[in-house]
Amino acid sequence: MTLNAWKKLILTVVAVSPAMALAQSDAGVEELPYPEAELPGGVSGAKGEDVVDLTHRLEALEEQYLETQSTVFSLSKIKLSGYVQGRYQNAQNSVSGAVKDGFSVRRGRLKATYTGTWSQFMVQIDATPKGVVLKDAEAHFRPPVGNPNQRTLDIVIGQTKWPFGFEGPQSSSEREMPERSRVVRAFLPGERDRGIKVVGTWGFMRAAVGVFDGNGIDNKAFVGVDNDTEKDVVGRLGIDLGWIAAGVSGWVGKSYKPSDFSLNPAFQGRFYDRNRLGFDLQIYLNFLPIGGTALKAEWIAGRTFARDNLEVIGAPAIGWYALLVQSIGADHQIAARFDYFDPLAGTPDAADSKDPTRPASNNAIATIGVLYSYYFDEALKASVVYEIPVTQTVSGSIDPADNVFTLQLQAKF
Amino acid sequence: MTKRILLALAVASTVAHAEPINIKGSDTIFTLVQRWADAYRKQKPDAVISVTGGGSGLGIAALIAGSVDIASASRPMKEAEQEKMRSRYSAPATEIPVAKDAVAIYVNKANPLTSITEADVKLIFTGKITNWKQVGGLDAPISAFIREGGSGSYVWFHDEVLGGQEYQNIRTASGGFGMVNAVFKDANGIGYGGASLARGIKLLKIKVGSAEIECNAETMANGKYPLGRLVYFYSKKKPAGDFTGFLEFILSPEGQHIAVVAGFYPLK
Repeated sequence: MTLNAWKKLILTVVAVSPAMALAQSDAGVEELPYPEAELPGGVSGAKGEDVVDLTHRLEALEEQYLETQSTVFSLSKIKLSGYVQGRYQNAQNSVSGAVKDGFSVRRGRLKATYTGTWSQFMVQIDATPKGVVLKDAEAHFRPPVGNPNQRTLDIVIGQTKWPFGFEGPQSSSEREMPERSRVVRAFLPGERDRGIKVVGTWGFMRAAVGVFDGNGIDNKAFVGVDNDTEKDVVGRLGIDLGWIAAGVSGWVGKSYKPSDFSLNPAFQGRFYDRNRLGFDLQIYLNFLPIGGTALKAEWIAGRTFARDNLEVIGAPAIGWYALLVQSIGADHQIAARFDYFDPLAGTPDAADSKDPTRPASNNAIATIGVLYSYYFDEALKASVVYEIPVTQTVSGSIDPADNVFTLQLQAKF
Repeated sequence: MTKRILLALAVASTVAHAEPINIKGSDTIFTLVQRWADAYRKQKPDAVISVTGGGSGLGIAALIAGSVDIASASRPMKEAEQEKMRSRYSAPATEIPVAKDAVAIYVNKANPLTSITEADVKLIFTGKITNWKQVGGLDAPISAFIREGGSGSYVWFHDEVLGGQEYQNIRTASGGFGMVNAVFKDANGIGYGGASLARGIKLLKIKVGSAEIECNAETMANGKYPLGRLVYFYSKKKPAGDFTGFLEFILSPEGQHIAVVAGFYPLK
């Protein structure tokens, strides 16, 4: 007998055995409402002398199964997720500009979440060639009030995202463009801070408000510390009807500029306003046969913003963006974004004081970005982006050639 | 050469006609969707409809991943799931209620109890009531069965009946049929699921004040039965092509009658 013939014989015996056992079952036993074939996790009703041993073994297995189930039930509350964004970039001014030509790991996120009855724990780290930094560390208190699908209340304390606007709190893995718009990066540098926030959902209403240290996690001058006793209050009130969502956000706080006698002996440390007001709108339409269309826009104005992770204290700024996204079929997505940011709003544009052929660093910048993304599957996305920044100029100065090409592959789990 | 062209045209023609409709999701309405598909195929023999179960959560996950066109669900889509749809496809999923279902509380036929309050059901499935005597039954330990985590019934029951509290002191039955069989076999068993699936077991009436409300067409139509719910199709885009025809059939009097025959309730 060949090996294959033996295999067939063994398989036949294995397949026939349960049927033989069932054939020995007592005629008086009531049949299950549904046949075994329709009962993936069911338990056999077979009885008889020959199956007593099997019944005992089954009971033992069931006990083990219950123990395993209990363990799995606990483990199912723990979730690990993450994503990596590998990137190649080239800029027209790669030699002298901020964007260098080459490969980088933009984000390498790993997130662990544990959800209990009243609580949630979440920690997220970002591991890149620059190092490993803590992004989020949240302790949630979630009182089980009402229907979780219609009304929720979540109290979060730790290092968490500011509840301001749309693009700031949005996950970088879900965002269409690889980077946030300039205005959001300026007013919400790092998007996170240490503080406490309360997030509530009542039907279509969304509300979130929090009290934060205010400096954020990327402020080079005060990484991990609050340099003053003032706290900043940040919040958003919005609606979400599925096809349209909108919100108004506010931020009221102070930023303390310490005395620095080496730079200005006459200057005494003092507080400056750190305020923002924002409006955001997202519209999702499904009228084209090729796929969904999304229009997202946000406007923010305020005082005190970040430039290169340092605050420009007390200075007014304003900016907005509009993003149009079109899905094509299940796998393709194209998008275009117009992004405008005017640091030191109200100050006339000027030429650079050292090089009059260049615009001043406080001039407004408009950036046009176009994107194409391809989804290989639910875990893998490739994006190609071309961004054209246009800096406001005055007579004699020219807009620098600083267009940026980005190719990014995102893998998530 | 001519043969090749004709063959290519024939293949193209077949492909053009056979626009497959892939539906995945709820075990609760799996049989109903199959019946709809069978009946629709009698009207449209060239219709290609594939129906698979696995649970509402699995169906919605497959819809988000793009591996199916339509998810069937015995619960509404969660906000986080809709957010993923909006991010991935620039539009939320289109929600289409296709029938009504009553979630029934199953007990073994040997159980003398005939009715129970929703509050007691909650206490049983959160492990706070562990003996039938505590709810007016026999002095016997309660065996509470729940559906597996990916099931829409699991989520719906957890959200609507338990108010988001954790299941405690429970055992898992796989699939809607598995739940019925588990309660059928266990004299002290209690479970839940679509009333349409119940065979060989007893359905408890729900006590509301002094009234004991049975699950039937009348109490579902007038909204008195407290554990009624809608069952849904979710699609990536607005219904188009062959799916429109199938959907029109489902929502037609004939399609809704099939739902009634299968143990569900019509939308109107």
